[in-house]
Amino acid sequence: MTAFRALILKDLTILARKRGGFLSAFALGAIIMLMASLSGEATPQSLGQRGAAAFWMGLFLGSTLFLSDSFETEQKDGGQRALILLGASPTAFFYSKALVNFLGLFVVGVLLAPIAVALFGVGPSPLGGAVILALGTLSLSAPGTLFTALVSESDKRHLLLPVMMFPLVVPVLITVVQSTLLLTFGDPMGQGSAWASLLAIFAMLHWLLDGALYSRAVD
Amino acid sequence: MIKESISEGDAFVFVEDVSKRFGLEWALARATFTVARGKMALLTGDNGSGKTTLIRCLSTALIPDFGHARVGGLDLVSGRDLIRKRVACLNQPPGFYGGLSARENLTLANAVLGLGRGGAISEVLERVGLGPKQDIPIDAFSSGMKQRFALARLSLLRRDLILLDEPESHLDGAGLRLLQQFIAEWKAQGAAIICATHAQERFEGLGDFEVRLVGGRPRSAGGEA
Repeated sequence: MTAFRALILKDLTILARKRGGFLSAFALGAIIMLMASLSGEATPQSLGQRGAAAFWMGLFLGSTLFLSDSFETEQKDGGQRALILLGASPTAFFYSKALVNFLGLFVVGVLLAPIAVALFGVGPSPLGGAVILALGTLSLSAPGTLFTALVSESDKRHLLLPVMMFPLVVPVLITVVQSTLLLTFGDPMGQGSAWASLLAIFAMLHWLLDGALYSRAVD
Repeated sequence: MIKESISEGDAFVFVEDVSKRFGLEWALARATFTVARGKMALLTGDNGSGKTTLIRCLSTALIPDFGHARVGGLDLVSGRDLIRKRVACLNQPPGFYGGLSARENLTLANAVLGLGRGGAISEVLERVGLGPKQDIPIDAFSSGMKQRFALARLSLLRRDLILLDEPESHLDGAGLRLLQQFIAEWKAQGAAIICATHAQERFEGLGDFEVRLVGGRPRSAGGEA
């Protein structure tokens, strides 16, 4: 078994056994969407527009719980530190963890999507929505993995993570919300592919740069 | 005896004036000794005397602020990545994934470190007395069982330098005899061992010399020289 596969299997096994972070992320995302649906105008157009922003804000804030929980397993018993000191590659740890975080956030997003449609009355097509969800969660999982490692030594990590991560992912959130709105309400000017390409660039940049910075964060 | 300078000779571990400061406090000052292959240095001293700091420096977890050290001819700072592949360390507490079983933890270490000793995992877990409990998450282990797991991983690694930080902690009589057997085997295999301990009598006949630290400073230095 390769190191990368072994690390992915480790993260998936721990995720399957300890689902607290996953369930908290889902619950927080759903609560944020519920609150957004109850505030402001209740016209179908206004609700629909608010829905895209609420869905992504809920997923972002929920992701901080999921990511914190995911890194706590590394931090609590010093498993990652011990293996890095024995010569394991921090980069392999980053990509395996970011990939499993991506999968986890994608599933949270898939579970939140029908709730968003029920609360806000509209939603994008399943296929287009899945593509945007994949690009958006890819763009959140990589910086999330890096920043979770950066704040992991702090007692206030649960507060620090959203505060530190938010400024970095604002461009991602704006782009992904615009893409979702275009998918939901139509794209007469043909802007959708440009927004989606921008999102793909953000995802690629984060996966490359954050991967390179990770070893400095944990070692 | 404090030696002003030492010769590297054929020492596998060469430590000269290694010092580490936390804030204004020197936790370790001018530690100097050598260890040859097949020998064990006992690192002794009271709490806060710098034993763990020295072990952490040699395991590359900390970078010394002064002095230099070599392991197998590699500089501790510039050769860090290569040294890590030759050193094994038993810290307090030993690092592991509590949500995984002992067998899963060793399978992970075997794959991630490219050891190629997957077949030996059950055997080594049997040897340390964890055979019947190898599929239980380590979170459910007692402190002594965690220490036995750490010994199992250390024995699977087969490294040239073994750093032990109070390895006798939490071990019962049988566990202690097991630790002594492992140390004797590692020495016979040619590993250099540095063992920080408060209970040097438990390593009688195994330790080749003592490096005593007092307030971060060496009060006696040993080694092959």
